[in-house]
Amino acid sequence: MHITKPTYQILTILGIPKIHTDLLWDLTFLFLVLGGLYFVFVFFFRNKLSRLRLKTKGKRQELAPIISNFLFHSPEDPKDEQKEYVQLKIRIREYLNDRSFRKIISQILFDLQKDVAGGTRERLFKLYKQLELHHDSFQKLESWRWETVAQGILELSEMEVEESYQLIQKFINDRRSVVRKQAELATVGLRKDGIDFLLDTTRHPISEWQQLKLIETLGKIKNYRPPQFKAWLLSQNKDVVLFALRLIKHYNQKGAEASIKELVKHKNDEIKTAAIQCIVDFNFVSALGTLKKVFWKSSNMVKINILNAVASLGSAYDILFLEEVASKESSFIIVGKAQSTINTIKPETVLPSKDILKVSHDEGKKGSFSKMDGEDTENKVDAIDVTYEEVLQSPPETIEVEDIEFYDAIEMPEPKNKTHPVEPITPAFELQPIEEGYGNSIDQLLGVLPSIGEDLDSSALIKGYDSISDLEKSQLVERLEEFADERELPLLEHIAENESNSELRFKAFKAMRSIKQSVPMDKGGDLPAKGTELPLEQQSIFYALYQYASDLDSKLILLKELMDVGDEKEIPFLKSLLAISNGVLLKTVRKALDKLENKSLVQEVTLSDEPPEAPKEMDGNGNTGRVQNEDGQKRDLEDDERIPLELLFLYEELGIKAAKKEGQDTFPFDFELSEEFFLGGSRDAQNGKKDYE
Amino acid sequence: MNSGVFDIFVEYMNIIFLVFSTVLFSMFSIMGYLSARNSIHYRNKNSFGDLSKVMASPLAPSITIIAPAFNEGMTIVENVRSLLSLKYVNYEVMVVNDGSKDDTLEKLIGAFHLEKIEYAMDPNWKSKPVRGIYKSNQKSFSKLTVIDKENGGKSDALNTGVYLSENRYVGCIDVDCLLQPDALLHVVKSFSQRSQKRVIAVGGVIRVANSCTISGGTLEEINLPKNWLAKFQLLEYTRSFLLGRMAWGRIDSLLIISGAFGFFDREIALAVGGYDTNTVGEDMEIVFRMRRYMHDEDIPYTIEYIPDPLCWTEVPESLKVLVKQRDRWSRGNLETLKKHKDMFFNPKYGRLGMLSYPYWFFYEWMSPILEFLGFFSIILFYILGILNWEFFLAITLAIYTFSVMFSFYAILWDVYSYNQYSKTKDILILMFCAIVEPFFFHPIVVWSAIKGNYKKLFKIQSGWGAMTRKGFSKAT
Amino acid sequence: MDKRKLLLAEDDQMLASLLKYRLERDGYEVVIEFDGRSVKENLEVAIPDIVISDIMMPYFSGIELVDYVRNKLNSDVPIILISAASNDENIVSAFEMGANDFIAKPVSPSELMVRVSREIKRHYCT
Repeated sequence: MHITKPTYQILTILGIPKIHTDLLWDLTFLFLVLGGLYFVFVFFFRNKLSRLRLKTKGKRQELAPIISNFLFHSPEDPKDEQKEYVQLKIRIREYLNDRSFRKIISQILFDLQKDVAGGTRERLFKLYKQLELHHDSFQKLESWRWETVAQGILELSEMEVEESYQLIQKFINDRRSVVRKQAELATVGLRKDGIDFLLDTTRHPISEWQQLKLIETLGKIKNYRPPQFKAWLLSQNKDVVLFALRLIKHYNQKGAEASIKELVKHKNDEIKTAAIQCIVDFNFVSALGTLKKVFWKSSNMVKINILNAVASLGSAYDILFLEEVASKESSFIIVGKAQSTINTIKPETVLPSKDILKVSHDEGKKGSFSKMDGEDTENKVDAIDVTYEEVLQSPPETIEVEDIEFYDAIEMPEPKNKTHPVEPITPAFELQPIEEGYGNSIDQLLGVLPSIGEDLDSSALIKGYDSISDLEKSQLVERLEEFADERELPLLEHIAENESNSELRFKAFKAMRSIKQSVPMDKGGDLPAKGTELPLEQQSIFYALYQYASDLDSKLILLKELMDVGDEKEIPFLKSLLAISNGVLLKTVRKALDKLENKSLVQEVTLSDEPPEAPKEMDGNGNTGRVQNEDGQKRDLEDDERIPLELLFLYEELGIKAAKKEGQDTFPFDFELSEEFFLGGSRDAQNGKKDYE
Repeated sequence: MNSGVFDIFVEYMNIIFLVFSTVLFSMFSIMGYLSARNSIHYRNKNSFGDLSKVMASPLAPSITIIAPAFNEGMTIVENVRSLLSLKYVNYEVMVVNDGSKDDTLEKLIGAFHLEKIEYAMDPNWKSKPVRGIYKSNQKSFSKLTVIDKENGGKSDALNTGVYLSENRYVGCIDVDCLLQPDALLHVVKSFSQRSQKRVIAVGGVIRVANSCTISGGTLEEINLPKNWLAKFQLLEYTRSFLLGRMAWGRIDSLLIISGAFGFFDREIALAVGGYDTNTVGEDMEIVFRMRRYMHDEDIPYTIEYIPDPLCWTEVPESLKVLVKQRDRWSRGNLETLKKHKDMFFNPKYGRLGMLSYPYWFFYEWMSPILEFLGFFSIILFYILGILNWEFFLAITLAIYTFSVMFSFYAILWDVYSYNQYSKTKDILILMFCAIVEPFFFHPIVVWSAIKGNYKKLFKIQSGWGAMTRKGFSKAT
Repeated sequence: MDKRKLLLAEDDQMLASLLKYRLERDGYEVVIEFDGRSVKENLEVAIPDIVISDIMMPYFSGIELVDYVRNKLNSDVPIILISAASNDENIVSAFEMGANDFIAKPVSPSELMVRVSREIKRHYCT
C-alpha cells in the first residue's frame, strides 16, 4: 500500500486493514493462466473427440463387411466364400489382441444388437461369445467404478450371456443405485425366472421408471410365461406390491380378485390407486362394496379414482351412494365427479341446474370402456362379463409349444409389438388354413366373443375388439390384414382411428386400403357386379380355383371336391357354369348342384351369414375337421407343420416347395397359380380375389 | 468535511468491493466444481439404456403440456403441431388462449377441427373465467385441448391449465418454444426415477434457437446466432444453465425453473395454489413456494434438473425488447425475494434459507446495484481526485479476467458434454464474445436491472412488456 | 433378368452396411445413402427399382421422402420404410402418403428380404 495522504497517518487508529493489491495482481495472473488453459482445453477436447470419431469411423467402415460376412455366413456357401470366411476369421483373431480394437468391435456389435432382430440377432450373440468379447465385460464387473460395473452388466445382459446370471444376481441389492438398477434389468432379462428372484430378494425401492423398464424387458423374452404375480402382493416391500399390481394388470391375471380387493384398504395411497385401477380393468364388480366403504376415509385423489371405478363398474344400485357423495362432499371436484358418474350410469339423471354442469362423462378415463361410446353401461358390462368367461375357458394349450418351435426354426418375423410378451399363440387361429381362416378366424379371434354369433355385426365386432388384450388385438389385426373384406371395414376404420398402437393402426389402414382398392376392381371384372358385393358366383372360392384350372381333368376333380366340401355359396357359381359348360363337365356340374342343394336344406342356419368361403365341414369351433386348402389340397388341422397363409411366402425364402412338403396330395397336378398367388397377391388377393383374373 | 474520515470511508468502500469480489470468486469457483461433478455424474448415469422404448408403454405416467398463448396467431398452428408430435404416448397438449386479441383461437379451431365441449368449471377457482373448452373432432388431434379464457396474464392462464388438466404431471412451457422430440421422455424419466424422494418439479436447459434451421417443427441444423445480441445471450445462457443451475442442482438447492420449460407435480402445484398472478417472476416464485410447502409439510422431495438440450427458444434480438425482458426479470426477482423474505438466513429452511436465498439476494439482486453504484463512485472518486488507481485497476482486471475465464470454462463444458457447434469458427466467435461481453453486453444487463429495480422500488406501474417474436422460419 | 436396383437410406452406418451385404447376397444392386439430402440427389438422377428408407433421417425424413417421390417425381416405385418405434405417429401419415410397407426396428434382415421381394413381385410381376 502506498497511500501517502497526510491525514492517513492520523487516522491509523481506526485500523484500516491493508489491501494487498499484489494479491489481486496475482489473482489476475492466475485467472489469465486458467483462461488460457481452458482455451487450449476447448480445442484439445474438440480435436480429441473428432479424432476419436474419425478413427472409430474408419475402423467401423473396415469392420462392417467383415462382421456382415460373419453374421450371414453359412456352411452351404460356395467354396470361395468359405475360404474368405476362414481368412477373415484368422485376421480378426490377430486384431483381437489389441484392446482398443476389442472395444470398438464390441461397441459395434452392441449397437447393432439394438437394430437387428430374428436369426441375425442370435448369430450376433454367438459371434460376440466366439470372439470372447464377453470376457472384457466380465472384467468390468470387478471394477471399483460404478459406471464401469453398470456398463459391464448392461453389456452382458444385452448380449444375452447367460453364464453371467449368477454373477449379476449378486448386485441386486447393491448400494449403488445405478448398478442395482442395471442388475435388476439384467436378472429379469437373462432368465425367465429372473423376475421371481428379483421380487423375492430385492430389499430396495423400485422406482416407477425402473418398473416400466422391467416390464419392457419381460416383454422381450421369448415365450415368456408370467408366474402368478399375486404371490407378491403380500410382500413387505411396498414397491414390490405396487410392481406386482402393475404386472398383474399388464399380464391380465384375473385370479387375484380377493387380494386386490384387500389392497384397496391399504394405507398407502399409491397402492390403493393401483388396486382400484386393477379393479376397473378387470371388472371386479364385487369390489364395489369395499370401494364404497373405503371411500369416506380416502384422500381426494383416491376418491376421484373410486368414483371413476364406480362410473365404469357401477349400476343403478350405486346411484344412492353417489347421491350421498354429491350431497355430503365439500370438494367441488368430487361433487362434480359424483354427479357426472351418476349420469354415466344413468344418463340424464342429474340435469344441468346452473350453466356449469358437466353433461357427458369424462373422456380419456382409463377403464376398458373408454373407447366405446355407448351410454348403456349395463349392456357393456354384460358384454364384457361374457368375454371374461370365454377367456377363462380358453382353448387347450398343448400343441403350441411345438408350433412355436417350428416358427423359430423358420425364422418367422417376430410379432412386432415389442411391448408385449411373445405369448404362446392360441392354436385355434394360428393353424387356420386359408378358407376357414378367411372369415372365421376373425370370429375365433374375437373368440371369445359371444356377440358375434350369427352375423358380422360391426358394432359388436368393434366392442369385442376393444375388450380384447393388446396381444390379441395385434394378432387380430394381422389376420385382418390378410383376410378382411369390406364387411370388416367398419372394424378396420375403428381400429385405424382409435387404436393407440400406431403399428396396429397402420396395418388397419393398409388392410382398408387394399379392401377399398379391390372392391372397385371387381366391378370392372368380366362378370356383372351387384352393388359393392362380389357377384354371387364369384363368392365361391371355387370360382377362383376354377379360373386357374387349365384342363378338363383338373376341372372335373375340382368339381368333385366341391361336391364334398362345398356349400350353398357355391350354388350360384355352379349355376353360372351350367351356361358355359358342356359334355362331361356339364353333367358333373349338374350332379354337384343337386348334391349341394340337398345339402343346403339340412344345413344349419348358423353359418348362413358367415363369410361365403367358409366351408361347411367346420364344427362349431372351427378347430378340427378337414378343410379345403387354397391349392385344393386336403390339409389336416392337427398337422403341426402347417404354417399360416401369410407366412407361406416363407416357402420361397426357405426354398421349400409348398406342394412337395405336403404329403397327402389329393390332386395329381399343381395349379399354376400357386407361387404367384402366394407371393404376388398374398395381401390383396385374399379379400377381393381380384388378382385371379 | 474532514478529508481523513472521508478517506477512511473510501478505504472501507474499497474493502467492501474487495470482500464482495473475493466471495464472488470463490462462489463461482465452487459452482464450477459442483457443476462439473454433476455433469459427469449425469453423463455416467444416463449412458445406459434406451429412452425411446419406454414411450411405447401404456403404463408410462401421464403428462399435460400447458402452453399459454396470447396473440400468437402468426405461429400458433405450426407450434401446436410441433407440440403434438412429441415422442411419448401418454400426454396431452393444452393450449390456453389467454384472451388473445388476434385470431389465435380461430386459427386453432380451423386447423385442428375443434369443437366446443361442455365442461364444469369450479366457480370458486380464482382464475379469470373460462369462455369455452375445445376438443378436436378428429382422432389424430385427440391429444389437443384448447381452453379459451378471458385475459388474465401468463400465470393466470397457466393456473387454469393446471387446474383443468387431469394428468399427474403438468408442463408449463412457452408456446413458441421448440421441444426436442424426446423431451418428454427425459422429463418423465426424471420424475419417476427417484424412489425415496418425491420429485416435485423438473426443469431444463433453454437453448438459443436464433438462426438455427427449423423445418416442420424439428431442429435441423444448429447454428450460432447471426445477431450479436443473441450471441451474447447464448454465452450467458450457456454459463447460467450449464454451470449455474447444474451446480445448484447438485446440492439440491435449485430455486428457479425457467418459465419456458418447467414441469411440476400437479398435486403439489395445486396444493400451493398454482402460480402467483401478482408477480412478473411467477416461474421463480412458484418454485420458492413449492419448496417451502414441502419443507413445511416435511416430505422428502427434490427438484430435478436436466442439462440435455431439450428446449430451444428464440431470444430477443433487439435492444429494446432485451431491456424490457431483463427489466421484468429483475422486478420478478425482487418481488419474489420480498415475498419470501422470512426465509433469509432462516435455518428452518436448511440450505434453501442459508444458501440459495442469500445467493439470490446478494448476487442476483444486489450485485447489479452494487456494480452500478460502484461505477458511479469511481467516476465520483475520479472527479474528486481520490481514486486509488492501483487498487481500481487491480480489482477491475481481476474481475475481468475471472469473468472471461469463467465463460471459457462454460464453453469448455459445453464442448465437452454436447459439442453442438461444429465449426471451429463458432467457438472462436463465442470466445470473442466472452472477452468483449463485459464491455458491451454486461452494461446493458446491469442497466435493465437497475431500471427494473427503480420501477419496482418507486412503484412505477409496468406490465409484462410484450415480447415481439419474429417467429421461427418454419417453412416446410 | 438384370439386377434390381435398390436404394437404401439409413443413417446408422453399421446397420446400413449389414443390410447392404445381405441384400447384395440376394442379388440386388444396393446404393446406401446416409442422409436425406443425398437420397434426394440420388433420386433426382435416377429412380431405383425399390427404395428402403429409415423414417428418422437427417435433413429429410422418410415421410418427406415418400411425399417427394410420389408427388414431385410422380413415381410409383415401391417404398419400404424402416421405423425406430413401432408406434410412431408418422407411420400412418407415411402410409397415407403412399408408402408401400413398413418394418420396425429392430430389423430382421430375412424379414426385410421377404418384404422386398414381395413388393418387387407385386410391383413388377403383375
